[in-house]
Amino acid sequence: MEFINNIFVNIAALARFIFTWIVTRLGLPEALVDIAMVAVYWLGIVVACVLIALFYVIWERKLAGYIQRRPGPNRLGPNGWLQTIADAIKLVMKEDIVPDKADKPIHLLAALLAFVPPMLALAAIPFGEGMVALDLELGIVYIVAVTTCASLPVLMAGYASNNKYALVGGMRVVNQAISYEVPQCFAILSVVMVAGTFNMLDIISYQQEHIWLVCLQPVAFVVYIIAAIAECNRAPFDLPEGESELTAGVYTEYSGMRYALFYLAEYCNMFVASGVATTLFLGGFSGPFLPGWVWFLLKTFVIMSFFIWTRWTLPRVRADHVLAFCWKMLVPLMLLNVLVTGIVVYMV
Amino acid sequence: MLHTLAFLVLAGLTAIFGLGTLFLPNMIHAFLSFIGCLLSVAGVFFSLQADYLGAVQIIVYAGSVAVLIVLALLMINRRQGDMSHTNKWAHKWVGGALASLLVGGALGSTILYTHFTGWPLMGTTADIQPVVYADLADKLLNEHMVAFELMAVLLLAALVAAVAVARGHQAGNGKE
Repeated sequence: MEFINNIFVNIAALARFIFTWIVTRLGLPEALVDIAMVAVYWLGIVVACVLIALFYVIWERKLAGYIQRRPGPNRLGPNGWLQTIADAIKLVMKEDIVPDKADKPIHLLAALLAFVPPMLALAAIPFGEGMVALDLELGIVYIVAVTTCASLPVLMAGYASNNKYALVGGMRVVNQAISYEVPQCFAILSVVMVAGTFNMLDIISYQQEHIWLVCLQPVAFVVYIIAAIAECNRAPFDLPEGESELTAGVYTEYSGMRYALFYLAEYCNMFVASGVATTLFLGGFSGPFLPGWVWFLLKTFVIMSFFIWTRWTLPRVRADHVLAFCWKMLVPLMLLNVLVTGIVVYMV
Repeated sequence: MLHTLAFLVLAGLTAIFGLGTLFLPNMIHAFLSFIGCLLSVAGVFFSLQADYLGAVQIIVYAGSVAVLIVLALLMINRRQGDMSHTNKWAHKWVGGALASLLVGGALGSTILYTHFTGWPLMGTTADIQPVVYADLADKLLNEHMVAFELMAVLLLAALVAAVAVARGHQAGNGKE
């Protein structure tokens, strides 16, 4: 049990041991070990990102099938579970089409950069006991800062495509991301006020000592989830893509591998949002019997499934309603929540 | 050693992106270069162990420049994306020279009067005092409470003014 719990920690320790051995044998400076370990961590995060995206793409299609009473993909592999791998191979082998009048360097750069913010954010999320690549004192502030930048590559894509639909889609992304960031930050602030720390591990240990913060901050949890859906541009807030009005929105002029990168980034952004929600509100990796990282994956699985469920159940919201809901409902609600939390924290 | 290298790389990037902001002919390219510049400055903050400053730099500046881009796209009729058509101030040489002289003078004198002891972080990182964030909150909300509140009121006034301008415009359109 203990071994399975620490399996990834042990792998990291083994890698460090091997690097130290090589470095001391060759008489190189010690700092190289740390650099090599950073590379190992990044490799782990990239592999995790790809596996997570592959799994959730097929799970989304399966779950959508169950919700709509149809089988979903069911041909390739056992009950269709290998479908995403075939799709990924197809996307990689497709021709890389760039519009003639596009802003070519930015068109490429946008696809490459889309993947960077979720990867940077994943580094600071604790996957299990001792399984956090970047244990910052200001963990949650760092994550907020990094995820803020997630709208920039999409705006770049919208501009660089030189296409009306793409440009409108790109502007909608910024519109939505900047607005929903405000209630999201207030939701995070409420949690930080109760736990009294910005550090992700300390927030988890607070919950281990007391109670899951979803019990103390239910309103903040609901608002966080809503804002996370809007930030990830998922239905019912998928206006940037809005296929009934904008063809495919920002992704209109993207195909093949470049489209695949955006697709991957979308699922990684969702995973980051559910990982943060798990850590802040649902006790993170703590839980009985099973190893910590299994608990983390299970909790994120529940939240991801909720995201998918809303996408296949709710219709798209009108553009002005999206913003009105944010500024007239969520922001005042969260301000009130912060006020009440402040008073209660002060009195207790 | 490593920290100095990181600082030099980040400082170089900041300078390159800053020059890009000034000299790129395409407005959007200039904006993107500006974001690169701001992110590099955040990187400098991180490399100097000022995590809070770095995070705030990203949230407040780099993240919000996106709004600036959207506004620029909405308001400016960019023909070939060339700024010489839209920037009416680009040819005011005297004013520009005066402004850059003032800013350059202020920065230069600050640099001259600072006593540098060596490259940043040439020594160990251990002698940097870790910031206690509770102290920061205490400074902002206790010691400098009045200034903090005044700033908040100023921002609120700006917000109300923006709403009033937008509303008035809309109402005017309605009457016509």
